Amino acid sequence: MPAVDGVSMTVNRGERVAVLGESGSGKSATALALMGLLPGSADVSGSILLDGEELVGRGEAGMRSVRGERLALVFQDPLSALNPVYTVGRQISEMFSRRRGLPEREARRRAVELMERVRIPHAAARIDDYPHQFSGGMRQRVVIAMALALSPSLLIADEPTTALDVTVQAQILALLRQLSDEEDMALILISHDLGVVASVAQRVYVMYGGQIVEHGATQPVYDRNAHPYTAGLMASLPDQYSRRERLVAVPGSPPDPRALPAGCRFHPRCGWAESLCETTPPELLPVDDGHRRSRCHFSDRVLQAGSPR
Amino acid sequence: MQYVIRRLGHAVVVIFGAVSLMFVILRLVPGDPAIVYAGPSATPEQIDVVRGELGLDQPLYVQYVSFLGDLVRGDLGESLRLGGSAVSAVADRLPATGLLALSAMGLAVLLSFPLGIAAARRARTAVDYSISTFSLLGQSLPNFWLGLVAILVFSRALGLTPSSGWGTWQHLILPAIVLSLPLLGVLVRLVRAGLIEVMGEPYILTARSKGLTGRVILYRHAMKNMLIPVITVAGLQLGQLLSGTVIVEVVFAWPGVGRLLIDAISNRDFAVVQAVVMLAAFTFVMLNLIVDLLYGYLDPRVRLEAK
Repeated sequence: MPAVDGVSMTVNRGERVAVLGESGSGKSATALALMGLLPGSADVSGSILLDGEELVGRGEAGMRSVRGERLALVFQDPLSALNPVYTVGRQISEMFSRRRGLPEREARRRAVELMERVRIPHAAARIDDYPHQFSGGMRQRVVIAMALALSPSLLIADEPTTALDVTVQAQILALLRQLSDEEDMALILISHDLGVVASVAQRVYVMYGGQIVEHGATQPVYDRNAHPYTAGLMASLPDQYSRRERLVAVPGSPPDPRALPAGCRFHPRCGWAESLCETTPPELLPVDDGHRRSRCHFSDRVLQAGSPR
Repeated sequence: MQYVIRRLGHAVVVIFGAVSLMFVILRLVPGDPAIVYAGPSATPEQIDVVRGELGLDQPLYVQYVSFLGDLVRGDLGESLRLGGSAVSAVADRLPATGLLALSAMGLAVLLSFPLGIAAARRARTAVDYSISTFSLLGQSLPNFWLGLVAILVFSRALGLTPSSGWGTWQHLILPAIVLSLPLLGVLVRLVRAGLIEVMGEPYILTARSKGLTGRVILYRHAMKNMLIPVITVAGLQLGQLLSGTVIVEVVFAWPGVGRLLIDAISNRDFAVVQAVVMLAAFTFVMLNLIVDLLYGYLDPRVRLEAK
């Protein structure tokens, strides 16, 4: 059963890209596939190129050398992502001691440096604290520090702020932006949150039913949607994007990957759907000025309309 | 430290309770130590004299108060049957029991981890099924039956080991293995289940995403977390091991505290029974204290709450 299907993405060095979609749209599966961390029962086919190097089919040992070193992952819930029985210092410093073979003292010194870089106050004093002694935002900083340890060229952040307070969210996002600039590190941000995506990403891939349905630079995609699903997401925002009394939801629920609709996967929930959509799956094709792509038979009409039906 | 002192206070209460309960039960069960002590040919008058000498003609509460008084002075009374103090009777037998119990415990711990880890890593394969079946059998077959079968097979039929008694290390093999099997079975199942659960935790995925090797993930990130539930249940199981010693010692004629206890009970040798019960209660409470301290050492979240 395919959770993700024909997803093709490109991220340039130092660039920040977002994957936007509802839960169950295949965002996290894409992240785990990139890291080679899907369970052994999962079947990954296609191609993952990192600096021109093929990652698919490298095997566990081959992927292990890439993880942390060149690809790193930040998880949604920092409390469960940290080992409860070890101090944060040991969890950060093992990136240096285990992966790089540095002596313990040196690894520890570097761990303090990293904690300072992700702006954990009193890093030298807090290095021997356990994860449960930190607040949610500080925990996520620890997870980010671990991910940054070996200066990866690509950081994948899977809903990094979903488990955090709104005020802390903004700080973590600012930190991620800043680190990606400083390190010239590419960032793939996975989120269901339009605001989070807008504040971080230069480009956005909108996912639905395990496929990319729209792709382009963030601002144009937000301003003028080329896919009815994106339009529906925008319409559901309660803020300045729309000044209506009632919140508008995209009707229906995301498709079950075991029983995907024929034709366009979005057609049962789509206000634009015609009989063509029920039979023929649309391709992801360039639209507008050619820098954007949409997987919709009627993307031109959607673009023209500028607002959802 | 304060925690340890408080726990030692609890220990005193528990031991006191166990001994008091034993005192009452011993005097409620039928059987008069005076009859046993005076011998089969004694006249009723002679028995009465003995009863008076032993203070058994006093009301129960008077006996209890004087018992407690002796207890506080560290005097657990004389063994009627063996002569000499009950404490020294127990102390004489303690090394044999200690050797047996520690061997069994060591055996169970040393074997359970490799077996449990192997079963967890190859979950739902032939390896797992054979290990799980073996541990279920070890856990559920009664000690006395296992002991008798072991003697029949290994001593009588194969002639590999002595069937009873003690003195050489060969004498230790069968009783230690038989005593260890129930604990081994429980531990294997705990290690297996614990490891399977822990390996599904998000922090294991984090460890993998850090590019750590399978060995570091298993022995560093998973092991300590897995030990928390294992230690908790293992602590309760150690009581089982203590009672198992009694049975195994009788089956293998092992000259330990367990057999002393059985002899003392059949001879209504109250002082010795009470001394053994005190020792058992003390051991049990201490083992549980060690387990709890270990628990705090393993899990920093618990450590903090205790402060």
